[in-house]
Amino acid sequence: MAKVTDEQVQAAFAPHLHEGEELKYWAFGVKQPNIFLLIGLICLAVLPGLIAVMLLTKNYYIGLTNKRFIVLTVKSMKPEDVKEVTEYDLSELSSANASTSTGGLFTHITIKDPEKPFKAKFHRAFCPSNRPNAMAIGEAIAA
Amino acid sequence: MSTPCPFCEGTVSGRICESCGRDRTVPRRICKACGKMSPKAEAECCHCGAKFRSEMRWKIPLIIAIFVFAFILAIFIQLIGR
Repeated sequence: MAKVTDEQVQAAFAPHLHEGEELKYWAFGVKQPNIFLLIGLICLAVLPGLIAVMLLTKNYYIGLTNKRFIVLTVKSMKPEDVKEVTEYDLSELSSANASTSTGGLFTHITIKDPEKPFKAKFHRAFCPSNRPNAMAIGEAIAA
Repeated sequence: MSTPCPFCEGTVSGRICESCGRDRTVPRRICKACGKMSPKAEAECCHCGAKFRSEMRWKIPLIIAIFVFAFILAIFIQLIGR
């Protein structure tokens, strides 16, 4: 799949880290449009439907530090194309508002925050460390 | 413990920056014009005043155009086939 190196991701997160803060885990994930919209668009016309799904899919790099959970919204799979940044203090996350689940292919992470909700799925094939990192982040924020 | 404010580059001890009055934890976006951070909830960049435009402004018309083109192409191919 994509050739994204650890150094590229570390460089993308570096401007958003505080002094003494260290990126422990990172993972790449996506949020696709609603499944019914997805099926509807593809049933309407396959190729335009797939293009529409691609255009409506949001890409994220998530990172866990010793203090915060950081979400970088990126234009494509490249970590340097950061559009938006959302951060959560680890103290404000718990099993009450954060949940995680792991299936055969994807690890799902959800944060139910009224001001900054987050939901994405992380495919195991993106890179060898994507699945263990996503699971470690999920466990840390939902603890 | 103080942390740098992502918007005014001052130091914040709590959540609210004392110099710019913004919450340092709110979702923020990078301004294409000046490259600085601005709160996502604000319609304009707090540094250079550039207006933020939703990506859906061009994505939705593009998706509609692709579908219309696909349908016109399908009709055209059907007509040629007769």
